[in-house]
Amino acid sequence: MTAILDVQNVSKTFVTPLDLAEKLANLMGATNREIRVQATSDVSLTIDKGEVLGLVGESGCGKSTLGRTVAGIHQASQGEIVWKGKKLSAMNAREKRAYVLAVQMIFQDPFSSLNPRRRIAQAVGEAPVAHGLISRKEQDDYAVEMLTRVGLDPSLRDRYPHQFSGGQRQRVGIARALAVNPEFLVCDESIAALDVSVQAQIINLFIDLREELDLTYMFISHDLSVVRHISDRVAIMYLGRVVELAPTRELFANPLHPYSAALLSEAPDLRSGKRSFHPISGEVPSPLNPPSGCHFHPRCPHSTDLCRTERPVLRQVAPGRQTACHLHAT
Amino acid sequence: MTNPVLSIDNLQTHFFTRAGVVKAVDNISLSVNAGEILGLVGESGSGKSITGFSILGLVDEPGRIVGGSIKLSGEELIGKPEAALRRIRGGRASMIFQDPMMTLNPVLRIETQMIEAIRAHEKVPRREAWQRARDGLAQVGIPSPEERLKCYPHELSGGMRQRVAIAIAFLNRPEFIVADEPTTALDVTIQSQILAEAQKLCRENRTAMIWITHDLSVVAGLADTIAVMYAGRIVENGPAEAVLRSPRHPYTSGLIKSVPGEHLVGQRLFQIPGMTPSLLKLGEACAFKERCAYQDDACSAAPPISMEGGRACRCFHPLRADTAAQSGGAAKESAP
Repeated sequence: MTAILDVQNVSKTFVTPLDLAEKLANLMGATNREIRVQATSDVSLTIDKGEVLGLVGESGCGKSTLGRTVAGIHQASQGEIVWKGKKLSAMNAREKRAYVLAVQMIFQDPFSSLNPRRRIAQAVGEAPVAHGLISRKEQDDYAVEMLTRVGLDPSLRDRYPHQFSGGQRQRVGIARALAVNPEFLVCDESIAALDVSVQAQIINLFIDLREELDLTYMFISHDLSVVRHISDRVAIMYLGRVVELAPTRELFANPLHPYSAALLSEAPDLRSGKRSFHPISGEVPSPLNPPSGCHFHPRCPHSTDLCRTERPVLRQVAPGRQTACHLHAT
Repeated sequence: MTNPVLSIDNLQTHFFTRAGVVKAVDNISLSVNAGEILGLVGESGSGKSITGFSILGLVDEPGRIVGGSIKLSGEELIGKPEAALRRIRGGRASMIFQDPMMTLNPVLRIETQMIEAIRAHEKVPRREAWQRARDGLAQVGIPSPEERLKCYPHELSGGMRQRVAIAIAFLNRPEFIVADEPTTALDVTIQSQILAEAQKLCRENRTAMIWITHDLSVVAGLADTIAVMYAGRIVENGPAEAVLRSPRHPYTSGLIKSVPGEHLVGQRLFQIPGMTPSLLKLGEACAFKERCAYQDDACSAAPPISMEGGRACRCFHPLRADTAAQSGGAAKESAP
């Protein structure tokens, strides 16, 4: 298998520049600094064609930023995205357009990503017409085809987004992404807002589409049981860094990084029975001011002096398994 | 058997809208004993939150409790004057909301709000109330509570705010607490911390609790008993482990099977066909009828409640332990 997408040392920093008053104050001797948040830091991973990569982490860990960077919505501050062997920065306009169409994103809340004033057939059919994939005359038939593909009744095509239930709206969001024949879907918490029974329906749709259309997914979620079900490999992120990357089965059988272990043991499980909870203490620190060394060391039961001072790099510790932890350095 | 702290009998809360009467809560009965946690599970629109609001008398127009009884330690709550309800709320019974900012006032310091909550119910000196507030924060695992008391809500993280809301709910050692999805908006590790605190406080204070959630796996680790709601009615009720291991109502069984587990990784999940019905159009018939594999002519009448071994199930065709274990036995499989 060949890598369809290669993320090479991608960092994304968001900067809030100083305003005029702060600049003036600095001239007078104040020390205002611009606010910098490093949302993702030196992230490297590859995704093979047809693979599902799960991206897991708590809020603020940078998983959505990474997804958006991959989908071309954010530009990486450092590092490179390589699509089918070609660097994004080296692409000409035509190649870039092809890339943007090939990588589509499905958002958490289709209510905020669908225009409330447009009928869904328009929402689904607009992009392929704009990009010259189909002619305007074909637009209606094409939208019907897309809606059918995601399991929506085509007779609903003249309705507005608010007339649908949450699950149906998510299907519209998927239909719109599929309309431009993508090869790669970034699903950002796409099922988090849905009820349990509807969640199962959308997960099944993703599984079916993957087989029918030979899609590759980056599946971003905080829900471990869903990620476990759908992903081939899982990357776990903490405060902007990937701390562990492993095949799903091996990760769940034997997590290597202490943070992965904590996440897995705390995930609620239907089959657990009544139990006592043994949570790891502390909270995710602010990304504005992350801890030194290993970001996880203030909460880690195994932390040493080395963890406080030196950042562990993500390295291969077993075939297919990578982790960023000093415990596994040898 | 001890007397339950909270017992609800045939509660009916209806909303009188222009489109018709919405029976959000339709004839439900529940009871919770001291120190016990009842998990009230259902999907959006099943009436689980309205049940919680009804208990504390928080249902607003156009909603009204039209029938039934809610007893807190034997004392009837329905029909009590507002002034009496105010003394109970925050004192003998309290509520934790999904969004802690529904509990907290954004323009007051935490200490002001906590001291006020204590002194509204008890005549104690400020100093003593402050100490109790501090101890309350320490109890829910907030580090350096003295400093946190001086903070405004926006200075705290989401998990911290929810801890403060929980501390406030427990301040006056209530007999009973309703927790309405308090961990839904939180991260996994923080959720686990909150669940641990809630479990510990209930055990120590012998508080009875109803934990409302849409997430079966949360109550699996937390609750003693589980009640499953569907379209305003409780369809199944019983000890948590028994309900999860061998569900008797086809809806419960379908819900459990649609949660991804360690088996069948990568394959299609079981899915319940169809959608939740509109509450406006419900008649006497079983509300789950259209989506159920076992439905027949009998299901057009009101389903009877069968009791067996401390478990209740509202169904004409309750599943036996052996049929429920069969794969795909609960409801028809459908293609999307």
